[in-house]
Amino acid sequence: MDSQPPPPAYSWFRSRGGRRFGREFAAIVLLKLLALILLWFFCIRPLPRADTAPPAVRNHLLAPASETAHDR
Amino acid sequence: MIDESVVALSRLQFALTALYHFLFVPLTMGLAWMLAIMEAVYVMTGREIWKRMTQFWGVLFGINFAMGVATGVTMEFQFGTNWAYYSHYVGDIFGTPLAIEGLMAFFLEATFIGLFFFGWDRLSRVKHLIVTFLLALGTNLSALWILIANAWMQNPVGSEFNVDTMRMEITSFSEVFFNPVAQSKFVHTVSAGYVVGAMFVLSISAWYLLKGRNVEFAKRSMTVAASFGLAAALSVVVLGDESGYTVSENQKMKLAAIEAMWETEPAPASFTAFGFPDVEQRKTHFAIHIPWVMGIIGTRSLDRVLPGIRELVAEAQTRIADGTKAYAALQRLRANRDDAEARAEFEQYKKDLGYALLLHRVAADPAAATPAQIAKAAASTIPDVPVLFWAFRIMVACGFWFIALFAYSFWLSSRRQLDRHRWYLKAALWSLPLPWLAAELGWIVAEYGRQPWAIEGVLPTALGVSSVSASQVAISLTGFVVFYTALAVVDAVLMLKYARKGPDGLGMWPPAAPEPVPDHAVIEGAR
Repeated sequence: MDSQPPPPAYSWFRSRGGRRFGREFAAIVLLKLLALILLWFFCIRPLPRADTAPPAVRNHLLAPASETAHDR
Repeated sequence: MIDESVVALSRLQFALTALYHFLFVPLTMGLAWMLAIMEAVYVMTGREIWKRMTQFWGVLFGINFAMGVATGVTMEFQFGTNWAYYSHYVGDIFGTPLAIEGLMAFFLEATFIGLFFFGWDRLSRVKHLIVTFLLALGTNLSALWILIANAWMQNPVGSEFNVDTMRMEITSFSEVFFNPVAQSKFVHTVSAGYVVGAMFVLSISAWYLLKGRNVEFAKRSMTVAASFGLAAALSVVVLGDESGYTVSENQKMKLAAIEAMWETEPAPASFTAFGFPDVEQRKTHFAIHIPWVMGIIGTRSLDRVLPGIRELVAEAQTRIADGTKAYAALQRLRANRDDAEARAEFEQYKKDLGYALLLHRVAADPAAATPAQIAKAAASTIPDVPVLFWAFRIMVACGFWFIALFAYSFWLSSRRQLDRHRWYLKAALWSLPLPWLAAELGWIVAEYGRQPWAIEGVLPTALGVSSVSASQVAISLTGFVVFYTALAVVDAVLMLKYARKGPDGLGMWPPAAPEPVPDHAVIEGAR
């Protein structure tokens, strides 16, 4: 059933249309990665890093809520 | 007090990104198996048209994959930015399946999608078929690990709170892995994805038949979609019932809210097919009840009682009161780790510690909450009943429509009459968005129905948010909306472009050269 590989021009992905699709596919992935990097750089990176040291977490969960609000 | 605007914006941001991400996921899961089926027929029969079908639907699969891949990454951004306390509190457990997903499923998917597209001329037929199967397996394994993580949020098993580190820690990985909620959610979710994939192929093929283009191509595609879709649509309903049963075991309030069951009814409870839930009066106007159905579905028995919302609120009130004892004991224990009395008291009430944390929204000091504050916190355990009530019913109605449509498609296909009725082709075409709608509503029921909890009974959502300001969240939310809108536009343009071109416009079918005579057909006359 599987003794012979298919002939070279068998795949649509090797045609002009197929190659164009391949370029578009790669461009989408690259552009999206670039967009994600920009998103991270402008929207995520400037945000303050949360303090998750044990005392800070204890305050967050156990301290009276007014103190938690003060921490914010 | 907790900054409610930060909580609301963080929830909105996460919901938008998750719902957007899930536009791509189910199509990837469903279409991958359809590609595998089409290619399997090609390998068995040697008929060129089945190969071209695999390649054409593979092109649309590729666009969806390229647009969808990494759209979930923004959710992981948010675990660090907006949900830092959530990540700290439960990251030990929640992070494990996420990491395994990244290591196992993504690598499998990423590797085999490359081989799928670029291996047609480099691999033998059977090897390429194996690649396609592994691609489908990889997409489904991704879902498995994500759903194991999500199921732990619905039913937090195999873990316990550590007094010293102030976080939840894993005690049994096997319990987390074999969480019954995870198993039922996985099969329900992937079968919903299969319905999306089948409807996608059915609808676009119906459009070709309406236009009189690619007729043989479209008929074969519809035949695969009809049989695969019928099996998937039946599975969604049956497995959704199993998923609902696990909800009745672990999330009684969610089930009561879905049913707008304000009062506990004698067993077996009736199912409310229609009505208008009134949150203020805690009753459902113009309700149409179907006797026994809810009791049988929810408990699989005739004598087990399903508690109503009022009873569950009273139960929450008791648990919050017990939770304040655990909370006070924990405060003493943090001050003096050798306080044996405090430790004993904490151990006695620790299962209700999460309920005490609900008081953060209504009391300055949860350990000293008044009965009125406890009652208010207990009332906050009721999710948004009207939204859940309607989301669930629309989802179920869609599910039954899919069964009817695919069953009729299957019947027409078996009689070779798929192009006979234009009304049927139009119905198939216009049903295209419905599986996505149903899938998104399913997630709304699952996630919105868990509120006010991030982790059911363990961590209220409001306590999981980071120490950020509302304006900071608004900036990142704006960035995400711009990013996702741009992606959605590009995705729609590309999908429409390639679907409109079709196999004929892309030069896929009919082939330029005569179709080679198959030398390895094992199914004589397979179509």
